Amino acid sequence: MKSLRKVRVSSLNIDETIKRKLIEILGENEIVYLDIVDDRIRIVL
Amino acid sequence: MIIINSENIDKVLWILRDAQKAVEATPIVLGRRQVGKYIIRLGSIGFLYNAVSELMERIVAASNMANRLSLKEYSVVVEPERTYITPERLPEIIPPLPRSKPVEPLAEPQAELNMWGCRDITPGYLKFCIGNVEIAYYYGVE
Repeated sequence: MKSLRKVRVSSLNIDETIKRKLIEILGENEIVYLDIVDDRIRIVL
Repeated sequence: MIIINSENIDKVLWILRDAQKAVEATPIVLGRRQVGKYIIRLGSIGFLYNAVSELMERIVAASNMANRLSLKEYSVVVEPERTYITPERLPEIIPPLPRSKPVEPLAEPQAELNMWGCRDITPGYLKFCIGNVEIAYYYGVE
């Protein structure tokens, strides 16, 4: 697996609705891994 | 009932061997084969194979016995429960055993994957997508 950037859920720069849902499920301090694939943002849990 | 005259025994055995080979060559998963006007499907194949094998065994045993008895001309009578030879020349009764031929293979079953909103599949990931955001869980690649 290529190295991914570690990001706190609350710091994600994505659509607010999705971010709110992720915070609701994971909590705002949860660390996820971020990957940019072409024009998409991949959030790896 | 099947009645075979001595001069036709080899011919009938070859036809049965041919039928047995056709059954053996039928794939089990897509077991479907046309024999004459009949379509033989999975489930019938085992019974058919046993029937053909048993018939061959009985004919071979009967002809061996006739040889031991030094019978030149005889008839083999195969009944459901017994088989016997008789020096009497009986009219032959042989069920039609047409050559088998393969039928068109069955269509592959169609499966549609639920892509969970994603455009593609990424090996090693379970994911769903909302717009340009992919939420993925890495489970590894074997």
